[in-house]
Amino acid sequence: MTYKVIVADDVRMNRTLMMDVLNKKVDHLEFLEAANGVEVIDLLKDNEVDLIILDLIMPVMDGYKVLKYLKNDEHFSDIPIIVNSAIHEIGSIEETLKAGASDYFTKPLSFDDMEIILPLKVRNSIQMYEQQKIIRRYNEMTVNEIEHATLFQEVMLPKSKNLHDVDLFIKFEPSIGIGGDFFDCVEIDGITWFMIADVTGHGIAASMASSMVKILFRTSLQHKDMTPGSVLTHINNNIFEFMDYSGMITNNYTTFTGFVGCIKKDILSFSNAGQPYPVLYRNDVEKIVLIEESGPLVGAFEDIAYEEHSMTIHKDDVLLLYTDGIFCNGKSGDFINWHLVHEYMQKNAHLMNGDEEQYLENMYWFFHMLINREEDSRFEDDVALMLIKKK
Amino acid sequence: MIRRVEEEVMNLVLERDLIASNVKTLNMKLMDYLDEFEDVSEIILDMNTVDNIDSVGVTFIINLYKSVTREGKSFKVTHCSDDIKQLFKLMKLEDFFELDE
Repeated sequence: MTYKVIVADDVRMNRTLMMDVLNKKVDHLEFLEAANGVEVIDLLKDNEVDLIILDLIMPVMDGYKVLKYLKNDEHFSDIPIIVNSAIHEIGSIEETLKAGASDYFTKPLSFDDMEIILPLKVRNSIQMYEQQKIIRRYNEMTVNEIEHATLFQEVMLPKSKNLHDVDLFIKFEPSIGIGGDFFDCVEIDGITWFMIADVTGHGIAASMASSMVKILFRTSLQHKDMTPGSVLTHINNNIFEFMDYSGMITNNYTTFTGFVGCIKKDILSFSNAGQPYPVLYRNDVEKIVLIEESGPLVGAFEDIAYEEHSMTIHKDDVLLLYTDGIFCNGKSGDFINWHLVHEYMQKNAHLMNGDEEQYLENMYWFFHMLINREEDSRFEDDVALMLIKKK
Repeated sequence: MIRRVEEEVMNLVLERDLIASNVKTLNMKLMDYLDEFEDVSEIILDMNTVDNIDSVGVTFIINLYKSVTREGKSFKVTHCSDDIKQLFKLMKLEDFFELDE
């Protein structure tokens, strides 16, 4: 592989001298010559250039203008530029370095500068630029992968919609585009099934686990006589059957809190695996009720039988499930402030009658404020809110 | 994490919050200590300095509990703040291991 170096100087002898020295001292260089700034820019249009050695005083377009132009162009701004100029004034040196030049040499170069320092700086600049390009390439690959995974997750998760027996409202905000929050709601044979889960950690690994949770949830519903407790038990058993953590000290890739419920006529049955207590809004009394039942995390312990509970649910009652990230955010320690969450839920309860999307929006920003404290900061953890309104 | 062994009891004293960014280091330290589990009958995780814990931290404790009990040793967690106890209660962890003062 060769590295292309533009040597820009209006004096041909200077260019030749520079190229001769660098040819002897640095391997794999290919030179392009420019006698003014316009020629530099023309060369850049047709070549992938790795370094520019730039004279400042040149006709047509001088080195200052070239430097300014290149540093303001996103295609060329990272190319290292070593200035080689007869101008000795500190003001000029300061100006060019501030403008983004990597280094500055004054002509005529001393023997040591020419034979030792300049070749070393040329080689170092090219190496740094090469590393920079590798990092940028990896970064682009990562961003592309996250974009694809985000689309995948988007189609995997349900959106707000009207089902036969319930209306479903969703608000989902993953921390880096994808995340480990999972929620689902589906009607099967007159029963509305739903689940919300928060996979340990966040990011790509958590989103992969949440995909698995969706498959396990939906396939478990295909079995006969399933209940919310047996669904969680089924998922938990399957995780230990499918995953092989032999030789690993940690198995937190498929550990999650989860809440599974179903509504059949006017009975709400549910089972909780460490999920923050959901809230039921009783429309007749306009009050919220905490569903304070819980159980162990899914994927943490083998052979767990999850308990289940039931209560009545009536027309226009609303169930709110959420993965708040509150106790997942180590900086806040806000899991002690659940009472604030519940107070806020009650305060906004009037929105449950026709303005459910606004309710979710308000709750979302309330969580945001609790976790991040500042309005313009992003959640560090995924946040999902699911609101199910009985018809 | 500091370990102190007295007679047949190993105390693992946490020095930082039990959150995702610290758990990787803790797991590496734990790998070093695993061989020493053979010489003790009980492992105690001391949470005195832990103010914050996240879901990755919780799974660290669960993994530690499982590693310890798999070897036939007993395990308990001490000096949890009230907040952390509340969190453990939500996850029913006290059904699996003792939370001691």
